[in-house]
Amino acid sequence: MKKAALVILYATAPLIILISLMVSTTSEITPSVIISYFCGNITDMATHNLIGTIIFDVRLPRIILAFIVGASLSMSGHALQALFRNPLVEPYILGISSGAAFGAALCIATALASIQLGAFCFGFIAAIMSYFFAREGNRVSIVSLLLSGVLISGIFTALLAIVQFLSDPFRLQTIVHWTMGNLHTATWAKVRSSALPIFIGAIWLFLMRWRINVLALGDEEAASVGLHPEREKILVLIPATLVVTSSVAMAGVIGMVGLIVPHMSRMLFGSDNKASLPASAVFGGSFLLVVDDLSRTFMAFELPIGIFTIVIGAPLFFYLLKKTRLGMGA
Amino acid sequence: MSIAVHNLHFAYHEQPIVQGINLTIPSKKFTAILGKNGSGKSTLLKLMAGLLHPTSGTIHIFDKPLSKLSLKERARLIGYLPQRHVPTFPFLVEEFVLTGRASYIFSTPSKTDKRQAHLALQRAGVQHLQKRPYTELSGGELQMVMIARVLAQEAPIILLDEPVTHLDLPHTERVMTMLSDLAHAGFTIIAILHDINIASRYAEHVVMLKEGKVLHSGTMPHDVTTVEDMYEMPLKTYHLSGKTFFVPREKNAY
Repeated sequence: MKKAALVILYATAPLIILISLMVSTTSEITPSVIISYFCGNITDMATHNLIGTIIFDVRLPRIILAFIVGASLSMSGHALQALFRNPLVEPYILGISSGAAFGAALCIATALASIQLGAFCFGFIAAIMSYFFAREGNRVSIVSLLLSGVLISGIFTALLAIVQFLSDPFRLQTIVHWTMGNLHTATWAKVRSSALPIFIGAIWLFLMRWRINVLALGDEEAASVGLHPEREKILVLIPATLVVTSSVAMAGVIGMVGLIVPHMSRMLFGSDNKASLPASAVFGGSFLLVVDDLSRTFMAFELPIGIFTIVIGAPLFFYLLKKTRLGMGA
Repeated sequence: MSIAVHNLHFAYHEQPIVQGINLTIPSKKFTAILGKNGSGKSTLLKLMAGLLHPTSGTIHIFDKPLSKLSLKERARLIGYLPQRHVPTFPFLVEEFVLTGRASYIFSTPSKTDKRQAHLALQRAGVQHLQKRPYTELSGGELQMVMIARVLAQEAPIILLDEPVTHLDLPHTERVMTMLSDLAHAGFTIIAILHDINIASRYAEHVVMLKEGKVLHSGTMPHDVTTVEDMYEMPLKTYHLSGKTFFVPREKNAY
């Protein structure tokens, strides 16, 4: 049953990517036009080049961006929920979203550096601050880490408010749009800039996926079987932070995905992170891509993706919650 | 000797808990640690498991200093069963037992690890539970599964913190018989027990603690005074099948 569900998940992901290439709000670039393009049936060179540009420079970077952002948020949310032994944990728990939003806002307001760089640096700084404020001697308790994440998040939210308050209306609008999540500004340059840290973080988390099972049992249980809980926590927090900050830097703050997809993944594929963590990544990527396709199809204009993830994700989550048990203990 | 403790001290926030313990634990025997609540039993067990670090003093495991062993080396010598485990994720029993193999695994479990976990389930007599979520087990079943996880570690020494405190009589018997069988099979079993009469029936060696110090270490004393001193209450003894059992001398005697 679980194996069949996994096969379906992995088989549908390339299909979703392919279908997403065809999704369009314009009446000119229909799926049949795209199929004709790939079959070499468009003889007019100018039209051929135009369609090629739309497919490869407009749609494909957006599709890849949506997929890797969804995969990153879900994978790190999954790892962090297990590490924190808490179902309410989301990938932004260490204050990454607030830190990144502040960094992006600061760069929008002052033009000191690129928005992506600002978001990445301050997202990372927030996570590091949360970790070190929670540290007592050589130990970091999970409760302290949760609390310090909430505090750091509060501090950066306040700093963001100051920047917004001091910004002119035009820049303020840009800041607000950025914090709501944005996939429509996808470019190859954006994808390239974050691909490497996300790739490194994802491979790292993939290698850690079984050890996360051991950490999810508690510090004492992990130590008694030979894992160093504090070292292992860092070994999960670093790649999780790396993939989340990189994806936030690319696409802004997209909520819900990193919270609900891991639950859905555990409900469908079981608690063993060896199978459910990579499944979360593929599920999250496909999920965000479908949500983005729907958001592009239903509206004549673009609403920030962060709104749609909640509108579509919440009912789906409630449905699964009623149908199956939540992926956590009673 | 499997474990040798020398002049061991430990304090929580400058409150002394373990105060100069000297102890040797015999190999391949069932040792029970007894004492009142707060006498330092759990702390001593955690110190021996390497989960706490002593303020001063040394612990040797098979003549090797515990402080010099890496976590992996230690996990292959000592298995530890905590007093209470709170399950969070509904791992299947077989997935949970496999986590006992962590010291042998770099990234994901090998076939050998899976085989050892399966053998541990068989040895604990709970292989029929392997596909069940461990969050849905009864207290007795969960304890057997916890023991299977420790067995999957393949450690010759097994430390257990109150393994039967929350169990009913049939499960208590099952767990204690199994621990006794493991000792006969060559494992060194060290268990904290609250019921001295269970210790009397099963333990070959007892360590009695009072206020962080060793009151007695050896076979179960037949005279009542040491046990009375440990529990600080008047007791009387009964003898049955060559064993000594202790009961309070009168009501409200504590």
